[in-house]
Amino acid sequence: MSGSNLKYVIELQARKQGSYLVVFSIIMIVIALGVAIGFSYLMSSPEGGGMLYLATGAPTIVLIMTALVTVPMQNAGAKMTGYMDFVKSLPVSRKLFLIADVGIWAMVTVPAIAVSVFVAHLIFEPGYAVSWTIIPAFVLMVLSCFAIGYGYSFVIPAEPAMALSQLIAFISLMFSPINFPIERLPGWVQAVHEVLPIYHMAEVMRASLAHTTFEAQPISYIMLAAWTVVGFFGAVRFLERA
Amino acid sequence: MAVIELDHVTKSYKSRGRTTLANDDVSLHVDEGEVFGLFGHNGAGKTTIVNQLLGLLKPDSGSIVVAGQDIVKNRNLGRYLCSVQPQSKTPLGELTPRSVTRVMGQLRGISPEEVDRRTTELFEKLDIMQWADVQGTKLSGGILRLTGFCMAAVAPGRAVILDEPTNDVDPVRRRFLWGAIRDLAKDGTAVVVVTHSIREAESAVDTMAVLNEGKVLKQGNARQIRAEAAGNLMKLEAVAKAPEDRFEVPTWAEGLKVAEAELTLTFERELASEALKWGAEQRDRGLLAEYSLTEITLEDMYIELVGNRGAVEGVR
Repeated sequence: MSGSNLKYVIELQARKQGSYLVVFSIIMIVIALGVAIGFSYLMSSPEGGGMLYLATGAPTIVLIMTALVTVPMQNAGAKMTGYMDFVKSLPVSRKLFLIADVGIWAMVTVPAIAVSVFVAHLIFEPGYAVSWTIIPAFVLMVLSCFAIGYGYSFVIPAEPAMALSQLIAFISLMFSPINFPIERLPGWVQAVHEVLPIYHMAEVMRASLAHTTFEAQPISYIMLAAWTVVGFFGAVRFLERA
Repeated sequence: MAVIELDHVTKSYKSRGRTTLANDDVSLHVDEGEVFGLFGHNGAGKTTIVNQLLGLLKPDSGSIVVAGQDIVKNRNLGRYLCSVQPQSKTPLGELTPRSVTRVMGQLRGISPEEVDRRTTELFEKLDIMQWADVQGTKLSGGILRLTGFCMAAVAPGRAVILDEPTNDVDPVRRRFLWGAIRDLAKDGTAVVVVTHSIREAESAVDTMAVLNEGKVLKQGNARQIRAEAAGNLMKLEAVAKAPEDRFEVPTWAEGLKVAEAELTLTFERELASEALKWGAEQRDRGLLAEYSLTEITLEDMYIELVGNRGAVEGVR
């Protein structure tokens, strides 16, 4: 019963957003290419390690832009238009809604990540070495990223959540060790990033896409797992709460 | 048999140290096959009742039983037992009325053939077939509202709750909608209609309750309540062109009132011809514009009961 209900909830969510999801997949491809190619113009010589940082950072940016920026905006809007109240009144387990929505939005990121990696490889040959760990790592990153996105956008009221999503977009692009090594940041910012999930996502993504060059510490996996639990706990609590 | 039973339900909201009593010892019963009208001013506590029936809110005290199941103890059951048309228009995005109604029917576990049959039946009854396959983003408010009704009515189950279903709907389709609401009850469903359109609801509801500031002021059989309120009285309604003190109250009349440029004269039914004559005289004197004789309605009773109080509350 709940299996077929999941199908209907996916249908509801996917068809409601419809062409918007397609548009977003395309925008994400553009953003990913923008990070890999556009940021290379910032560097004096687009070769070697720097280029690999950009090429392995782009997929992380895609995940962050989708799960921590776009989805929270959507959720804040859904709260304000009363759509969340409608979802809560549906005769299904509310967890299905979360599962369906995370699944749909995770699919939106896949083409962007694949295309950006492929194009960056063709243009720069930055030295990708894809490990099998990409699959469990991708699952973990998706889960943690979406858990945090849903968690904060459900728990925080709509307007501040929207503002926070914009702040996250800015900070993750400019002040996060996704596209450059963490050592370049001031000590206190480094300390903050040790606790926040962004740095750990980038580390895990890099280790999966170029395992011969980068290695992620076990703490990164642990931190992501912890953020996943915290985020989903908050999201489910909001959904199950009356 | 009672499908919905609320007994002594009290619910308060606390915000910034202030407590608002949304429901104050509310007891309501709705039988199967019955249309129950829930009337009351904005903020009277109607939607709070709806949300408690759905299990979206927990009462401070009292019991809520739907189809024999305790909703207070097992709040998750509420939304499975009651189909609801929420007060806010459901944003459909790119979903079409047909596709969203289909999903709702399937979620409620009826067969695809039954879903299609019911969807067609409802869309034809409400005369919205021409929009059945138009994306929600391109639909007007009234059509969205009617789609909301179809989503709740496609697989009604034991209880259907409609929170202001006629808002935004054009006058012709409103009649179709009230017909469709009656049909739901005919099939044995208990229907709760929250509405401000008391005049329209009058012929559609079997039982009713008037809520004011969280309390039930009156409830029971709608026809009886109306008969009680009207007694043997009728009224003359007219557009007043002069203030109340310019009118001489005829000795045979029960009462005369001018409010918002509308004059109401109440009198015993037998005196209808006197009243018509009086109306014509006043018009000749230029005190009245068009006038008509009508029955005392539920709405008159409602306004009598809560009208003035509510208006003052609203301003405060």
